[in-house]
Amino acid sequence: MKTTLLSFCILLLVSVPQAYPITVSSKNFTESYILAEIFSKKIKDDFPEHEINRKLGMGGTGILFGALTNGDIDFYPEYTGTIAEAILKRPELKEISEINKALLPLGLIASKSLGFSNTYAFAVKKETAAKYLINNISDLATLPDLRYGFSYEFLKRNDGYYALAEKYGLKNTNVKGMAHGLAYEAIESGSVDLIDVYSTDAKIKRFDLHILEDNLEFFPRYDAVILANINFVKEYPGLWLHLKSLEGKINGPEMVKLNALVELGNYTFKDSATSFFTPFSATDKERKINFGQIWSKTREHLFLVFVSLLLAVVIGVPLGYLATCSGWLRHSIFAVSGIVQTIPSLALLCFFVPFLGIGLAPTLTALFLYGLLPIVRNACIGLESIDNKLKETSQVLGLKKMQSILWIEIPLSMPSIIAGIKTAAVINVGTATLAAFIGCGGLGSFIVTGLALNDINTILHGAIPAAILALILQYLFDVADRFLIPKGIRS
Amino acid sequence: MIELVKVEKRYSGNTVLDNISTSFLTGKTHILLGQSGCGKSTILRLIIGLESADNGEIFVDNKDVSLISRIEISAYFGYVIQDKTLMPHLTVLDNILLPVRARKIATDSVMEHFDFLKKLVELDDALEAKYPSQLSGGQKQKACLVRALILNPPYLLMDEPFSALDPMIRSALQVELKKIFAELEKTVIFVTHDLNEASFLGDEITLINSGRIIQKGQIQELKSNPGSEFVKSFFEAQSQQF
Ligand SMILES: Nc1ncnc2c1ncn2[C@@H]1O[C@H](COP(=O)(O)OP(=O)(O)O)[C@@H](O)[C@H]1O
Ligand SMILES: [Mg+2]
Repeated sequence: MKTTLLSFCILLLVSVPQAYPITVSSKNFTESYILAEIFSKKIKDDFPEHEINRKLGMGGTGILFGALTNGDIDFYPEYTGTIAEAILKRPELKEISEINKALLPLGLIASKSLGFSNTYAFAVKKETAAKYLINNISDLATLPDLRYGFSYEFLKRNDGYYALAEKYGLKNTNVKGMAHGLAYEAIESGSVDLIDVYSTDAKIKRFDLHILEDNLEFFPRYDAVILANINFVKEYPGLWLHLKSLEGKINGPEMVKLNALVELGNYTFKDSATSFFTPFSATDKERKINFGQIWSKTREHLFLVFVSLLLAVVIGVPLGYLATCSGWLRHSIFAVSGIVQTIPSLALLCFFVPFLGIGLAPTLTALFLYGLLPIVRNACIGLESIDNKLKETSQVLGLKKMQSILWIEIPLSMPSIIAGIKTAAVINVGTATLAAFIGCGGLGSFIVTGLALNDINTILHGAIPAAILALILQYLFDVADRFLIPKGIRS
Repeated sequence: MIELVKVEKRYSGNTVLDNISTSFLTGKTHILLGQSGCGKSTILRLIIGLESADNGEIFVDNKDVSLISRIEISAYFGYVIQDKTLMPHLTVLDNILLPVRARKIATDSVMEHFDFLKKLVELDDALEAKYPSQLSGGQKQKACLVRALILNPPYLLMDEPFSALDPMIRSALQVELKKIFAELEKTVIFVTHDLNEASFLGDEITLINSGRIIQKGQIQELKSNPGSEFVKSFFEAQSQQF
């Protein structure tokens, strides 16, 4: 059973690179998911012969950048501002042509703007815009009595409101700070006249707001583009051109509408992407619990937990034995596995992306490392607590070293070893939820999607089964004690 | 024959065995007698390869024990000590068969000898399936003795095997053991600090003090003809106890 599981895992590891499907990815927020689904559908509809892999909801720019440069993924939606600041570390780059020049040495390439920018913007009610004839931010200079409600972040940032006011010559004094979530209700109820928003917020449509043009280009451009690996472009120039036909096709209001379908209308990312190609009249849907999906994610989750646990046992118990052999080995083994434990799980996962790519390999490696310490430590403690007289006896009776280990020492330390494995298993059930951040599925997929949608329901789809899984595992180990701990030493 | 030639053993600078030279002839029951801490156990541990000597040589049937593997040495000896040495996770039967299985010998081939040993030490058949924790102290030591003898080794080394048992059981086992020694005709080295046990069980007594051999001979010889003041006082002190 153990060997089949292991060979299955190995098979999975080696079989991934053989086929070369196209892999599209996204970050873990609604807009990114929808854009990735649009790219995916764009290719699928017109080039059905290509297999498309969707690794959506990755945990951050760093992970995606790593995955993109080493070819784990082929392209994903990104924003020019993010490329300049987070990837190139050259915030002064604004134009796509400049950005592409800097991307070339990294083996990456960006499309032109898809047609919208997702950045800070000022929003007012349509009536307000009509009443005072406001179209752009400069128009505000003559209206010093408008009441502003800004998010605390926008008020505090160096490139926030006060810098903007200086540039546009605004003299308003009626400025209130408020939590971003409350701003929409505040403008709806009329307690403020103008708020700061992200230019593609779903709620812009829901509250029917008017976005003011940033005519002096104060806000940095966060134009949505397709960021791709150059090898993909060279390999499939036709597909790249086809994707580039989306350039300029998605405007701001369109993106707001698509976001709203998901965040406010409970449609799936896929539904929303479909509506981009064939618009339908949307009525809000009830989000239902999909047990089939929960079960399939639970299976992915169990696979991650068990394979990593198996590795940790196979390596950890011998390491625990080695640790009993000499002082400095003990110190170094405990030091290394202890340090690993202190690295935050997400950081550890991301750490492996540059070497191991995304998906199974870094996830299993990270989970394996997390499981290692409790197993090594407990194996070591168990082995050390064996009465030396018994070890001598096995030598005197003529047992070879290996026989002594397998017949005497390991069985005698079984209670401690099992306790270690139990701890590792429970830790791994929790940590494996983070696998979703590097495209490895599992119950964390619900949590990542739920976080993107700000939807507790979806988060619970992942969190509850994970908690139940931990409880079941705990129980199963209690049962396993009865089989794995030799009868003579069971308490 | 077991031979010690100028054997020295030190633990972190303390000399525990000081220039020990002696031999244990085949077929006899030898007693190592001496007060606690004088080095008796260390002699057995050196012979059986659990420790190595800092100086000198030990020969078993003319083979230098420092030149053969520990596993090879173990084939010469049955070894029974005071401490609990039955593996707690194995049944009595599995404990007894450990040396057999370790050498990949078919268990069938030892069954006859096993039955003989069980009768000899009066080990109840019903105990075979039990775990050590379910046995009395005396039963444990009997099982250890059977395990030590299962492969019929030429030498039997016993290190105060009964000193953890209560006096009644202890003297009963001494009587049994004497029968067993007579029946088996093995070369035995029996360690004790108890003069009565020594004189009851042994032929040849080796009296040890502070890591040195003080006198060697029959018990009567030692009593009637003590070679030093120490021997005399040792015998006087021990007989006063009763
Ligand atoms: N592993 C050891 N480390 C240090 N000292 C030891 C060790 N084993 C025995 N000794 C010392 O060696 C001396 C002889 O011990 P031992 O042979 O067990 O005596 P006996 O069996 O005659 O009571 C004692 O003083 C004991 O403290
Ligand atoms: Mg002793």
